[in-house]
Amino acid sequence: MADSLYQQYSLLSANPAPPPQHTQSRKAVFARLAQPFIGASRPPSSHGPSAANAGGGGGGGSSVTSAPILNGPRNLRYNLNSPILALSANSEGDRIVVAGREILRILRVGYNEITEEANLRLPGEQKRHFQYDVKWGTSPQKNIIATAGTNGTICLYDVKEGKLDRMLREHGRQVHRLAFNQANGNLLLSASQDGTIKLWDLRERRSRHTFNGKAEAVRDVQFNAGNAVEFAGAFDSGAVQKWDYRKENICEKKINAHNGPAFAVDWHPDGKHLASGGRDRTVKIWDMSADSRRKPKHELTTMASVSRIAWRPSRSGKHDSTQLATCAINNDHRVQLWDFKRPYIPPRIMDVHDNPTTGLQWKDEDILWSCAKDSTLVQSDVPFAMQPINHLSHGAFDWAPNGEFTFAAQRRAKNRHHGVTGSRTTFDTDEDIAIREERRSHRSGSFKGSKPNLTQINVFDTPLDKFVPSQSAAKVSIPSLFDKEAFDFFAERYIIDLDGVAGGPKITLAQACEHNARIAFRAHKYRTAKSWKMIQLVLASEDAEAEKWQLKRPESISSTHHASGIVARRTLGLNGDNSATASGGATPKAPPSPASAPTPTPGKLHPEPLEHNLLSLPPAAFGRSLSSSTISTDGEHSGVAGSDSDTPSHSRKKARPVLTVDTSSPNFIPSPNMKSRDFAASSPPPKPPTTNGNAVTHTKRDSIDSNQNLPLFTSTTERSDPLSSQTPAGVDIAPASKVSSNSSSPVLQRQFSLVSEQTSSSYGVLESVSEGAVPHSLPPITEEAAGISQLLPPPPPIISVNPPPTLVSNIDDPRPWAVRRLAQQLIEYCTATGDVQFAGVLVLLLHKRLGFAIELVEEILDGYLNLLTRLQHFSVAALVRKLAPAESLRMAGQWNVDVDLSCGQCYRAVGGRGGGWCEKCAGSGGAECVICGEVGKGRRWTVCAVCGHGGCEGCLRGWFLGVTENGDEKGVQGEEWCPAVGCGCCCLPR
Amino acid sequence: MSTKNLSAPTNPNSYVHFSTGHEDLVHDVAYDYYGRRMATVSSDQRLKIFDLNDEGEWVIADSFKAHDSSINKVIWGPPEHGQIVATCSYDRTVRIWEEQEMGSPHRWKRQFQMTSDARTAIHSIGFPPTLASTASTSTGLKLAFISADGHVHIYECREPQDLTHWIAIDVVAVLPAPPPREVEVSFCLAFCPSRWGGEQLVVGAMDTARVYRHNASGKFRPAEELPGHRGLVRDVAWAVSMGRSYHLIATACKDGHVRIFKLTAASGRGDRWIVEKVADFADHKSEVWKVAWNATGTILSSTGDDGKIRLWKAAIHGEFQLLSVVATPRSRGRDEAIIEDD
Repeated sequence: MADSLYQQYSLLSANPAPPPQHTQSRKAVFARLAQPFIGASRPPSSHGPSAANAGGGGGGGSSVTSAPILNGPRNLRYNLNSPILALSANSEGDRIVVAGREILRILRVGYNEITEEANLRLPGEQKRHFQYDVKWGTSPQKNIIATAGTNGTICLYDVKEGKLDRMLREHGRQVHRLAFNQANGNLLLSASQDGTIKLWDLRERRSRHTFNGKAEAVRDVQFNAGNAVEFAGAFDSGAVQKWDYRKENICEKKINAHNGPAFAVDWHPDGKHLASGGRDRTVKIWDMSADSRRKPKHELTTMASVSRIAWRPSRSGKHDSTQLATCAINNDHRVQLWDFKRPYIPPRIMDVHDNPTTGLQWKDEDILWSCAKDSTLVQSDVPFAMQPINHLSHGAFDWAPNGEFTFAAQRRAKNRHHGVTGSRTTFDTDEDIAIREERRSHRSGSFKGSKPNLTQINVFDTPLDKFVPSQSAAKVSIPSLFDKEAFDFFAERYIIDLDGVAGGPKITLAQACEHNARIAFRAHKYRTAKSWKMIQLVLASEDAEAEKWQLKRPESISSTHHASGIVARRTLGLNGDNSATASGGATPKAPPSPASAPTPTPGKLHPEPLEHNLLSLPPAAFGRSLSSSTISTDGEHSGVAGSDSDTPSHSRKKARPVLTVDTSSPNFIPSPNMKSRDFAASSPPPKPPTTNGNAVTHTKRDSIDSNQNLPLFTSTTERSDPLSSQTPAGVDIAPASKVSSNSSSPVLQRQFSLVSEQTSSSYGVLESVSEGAVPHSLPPITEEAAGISQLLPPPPPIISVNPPPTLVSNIDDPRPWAVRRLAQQLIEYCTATGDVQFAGVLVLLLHKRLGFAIELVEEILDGYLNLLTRLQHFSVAALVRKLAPAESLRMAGQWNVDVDLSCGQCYRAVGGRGGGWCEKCAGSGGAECVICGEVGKGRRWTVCAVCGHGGCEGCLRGWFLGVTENGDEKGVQGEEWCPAVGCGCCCLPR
Repeated sequence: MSTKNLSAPTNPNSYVHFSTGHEDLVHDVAYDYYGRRMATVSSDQRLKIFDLNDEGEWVIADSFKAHDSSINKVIWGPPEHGQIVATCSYDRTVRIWEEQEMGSPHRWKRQFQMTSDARTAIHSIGFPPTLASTASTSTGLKLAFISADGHVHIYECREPQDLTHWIAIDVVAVLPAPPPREVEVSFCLAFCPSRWGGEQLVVGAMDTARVYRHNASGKFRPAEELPGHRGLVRDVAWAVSMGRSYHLIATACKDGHVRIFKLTAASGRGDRWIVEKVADFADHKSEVWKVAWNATGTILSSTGDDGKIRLWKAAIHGEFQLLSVVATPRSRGRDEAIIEDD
């Protein structure tokens, strides 16, 4: 789209033009400036010969024009080699006079070219003075040009004669602005620095009236085109005044229009309204006929001090224009077109000058002349000018940390018309084209000088069809994008603290994995749960292998082995109260009892007992959890399990890395999953006949779920076997649901079998694999491991293609199920899918064992910390920071953190001196204990954070805890109320 | 601790309309670090601050005139330095706003103003992440902005307790010459969010996008280009890496395309990266103005002139796919918003 535009303008600029006669540098400049002033246009990429030609000359007063192109932009530029301070056109609109220092020239302007017509000679004494304003006379003085000099002299030239006619010297100081009366060209107003406005009748020798605004210097003055006896002035005090020239002494209306000097006024063609602009960068529209003088009818804010204002002539002669052009004294060289219907975004910007624009005048509704201190006079074809709206985004968007987002959006009204080939126009909308064509068809002489028709409807009084923003803004939450609920759940419940740093119990790695798997299961994150499970199993397998080694060398058995030696067991007796226990392991046939001996279960290790949570699981989920639950216990447990068994497999199992299965539950299902494969001999797995058919289903399901968490581990240990005749499913679930273990509720049964079918279909393949790969006899370790490896689908390509350089480099264990390798793949996968929580917890748990690359640890944990903090899990974040194996993270909380103390007595900040005691109170020995009354200096001190009362630690211990200073029980129950008399603060609520 | 169990995620998609109260187009919205507050800026020259109420709705907290022209962009400062908002505008200034204590006559005080040397419009701003390596030595707060003459300016506030003193520490020209005056321009920048490996910046300047990195002397130098743009680059977004071995950068382009580039560290030393375009979508069928990555750097949003938000997510093989389209009521011509899940 854009390319076609560029091409188009390269074409335009390549049009023939007057032969070049000037320096190359100028050419280059003007090649650029001669470009049409279109925002989306682009200059020719190189200043080649054609481009330079198009630029033409620049100096010496030769004209620079673009070639006549039908319907093309009629942009013209003319360089006068001297800064221009003002311009004025005659009432026909075919000639312009420009004035500056030492120059006063008359130019003839056509649609396609500007030519110089006359160079008026300034009188010698005026050459030293800038001519700050120039005005072309109106009928009957159409041949008069008036200039205003800095010395206060007004010069009148006769255009026909081409020479100075006379000089008017009454103002003591600079004349800022001149104005002819449109109805009677004999009347001329002059506004001066001396604070007066003078009315001249050119037929008389002296000024007719002097109006004193008493508001400092007068910056601008203008006759009301709608009511020829009125004029308005702009004053340095910020005032705008309306006068009737017949009443010399009475100011008809005074408005404190601007904050700071008012520089410009312009009457709206309707004769009722006036626009004023000033150094406060605002343009204000006033109703000059109404009494309300306080508030402007409209206001708009520009970027710089407004020096000139020119209402855009309205179409077809109606005085309903809402647009005006402004230029600025400094800081902003652009001419901006504003519309009060949409006061914030100017409809057009003409960026055509290199220096401040000094004069503005409309030829008609499309053509605007402007002159500037950069010595140029420019004719801009406004409908071709840049439209800022096209450079502004119509949409806004941001993500919240929790995956919600807020946006504001709007469809752009109409697609930009990108100058379709054939048409040389670059109207921005179809609407514009229609308007322009309409205008061209009945163009009327709507030059500014035409007489206003006061019967027109006043646009300012009718409700302006003001722009109403139609962007719609909304906050959107799509839960599937980021499961904040699960994140919160996991953040608070995942075990990351193996060593009890935060005050919790010590826990083994496997227990933590087990626990985390359960947590994930409860959040219905089955794949995450399986991933945890997988890690646990692989850890177990590795540990068991290590155990085997240690068995060979019994002397090497160490306590560390005990801590990390993992035997996973499969318990089916998830009886309500000690589900995870594998409890009562002593008697396999013993019925599950709530009162069975408490064993160190993971649930008990954690502050939140798991079994209670499991109870409230919905039946469907529970059914699955039953079938999948694998409980890890520590070494002690495995010992029990081993000793209680009377089957030969158990005795062998002890030496094997394979996971023991607890048969304590009467409802034990010897289902043939991979962990219980070693049971195959004792209880042959009931094999569904449709295994092979199910394999298809399984793969399909795997691919469907590939977006879910960890497809890598779809086929793990979970499965149930509905076809097993030995599986009283209803009974199996019964203990958990507090139903007698003997009763089999049909409802539950049905529920369970439903689930079972589902799971069996998805995991049927697992069985076939295990059946095929593992002989029924107890396999050697390696084969067992191979069975596991076969269960793993190949890792996703994203992982295999790009082995991360940051990950553990020395993978000494070549086996694919090695913990190291698994963890690496898991982390790769999690970071790719954005599950930084899983990756972070994994890194925290496994770093000690596996030693990840520090860069990886830092990035992942920083990501996790960021999310935790942003989602306001501050204490979890603090724990993660504390546990972080990277110093840069651990230290972050200690760098640049200032802790300020305030005195408990006077609340003043405690400085460094005085040994941590308030300097003021230290003189008296510090605060007094509320109980014993002794000063606190040098004692262990405790303060209630709520009421601020404090005392010696010993006293307060006695008060609140009922113990003596030595920690002995006093036999008194502690108070919860503040010991200070009359305080009433409940310092230690129980 | 409660024994609450999570139910399967059944929460419906929610779409809560609110009125920004801006009188013209809103050009940018920005959540604060915690997602509890939001700032909006508009062509109406106002900056508005919204707070989230208990019902999860935006409630306006502050609204004030912040600039003299259309405001392009708003960003929140790093949370460790307090409540700071930076804005940039076509009025050629970058302004730093700091929230004052309750009871102040103006809740948000303008603490500093920056301009480019050429006095041109400022198109984009960004706070770099606090680098881990410098955390011990420097407590400075830095800000980068890009002006319409094609210069990236880096300012630093050495003592962020006092935001009224900033010094220019680096200027990078990203174009061989400033663009001609009448040409439509577009500039944007985004920092790499990683706190390790030095500051990295992606800059969109006119119709090119390029990565800039610190050289040995701590100045930004041009590095890899993100190729293939056939129009003005409207926006760039650098995804949080979260420990990935590669970086993802998305660009929004006037040619109607959303592009995603993957930067993988080249083997061998020298800080070289291999740029690979992994996605190129033209679904908006109109100019694309904004791209943004979510907090985990896995979902990309794009906003276009069609008035729709599109969400893109990588499938399992790293291939980006359309996730959903969020259409505004008006752009659909209906009364309710549509969230199309793909």
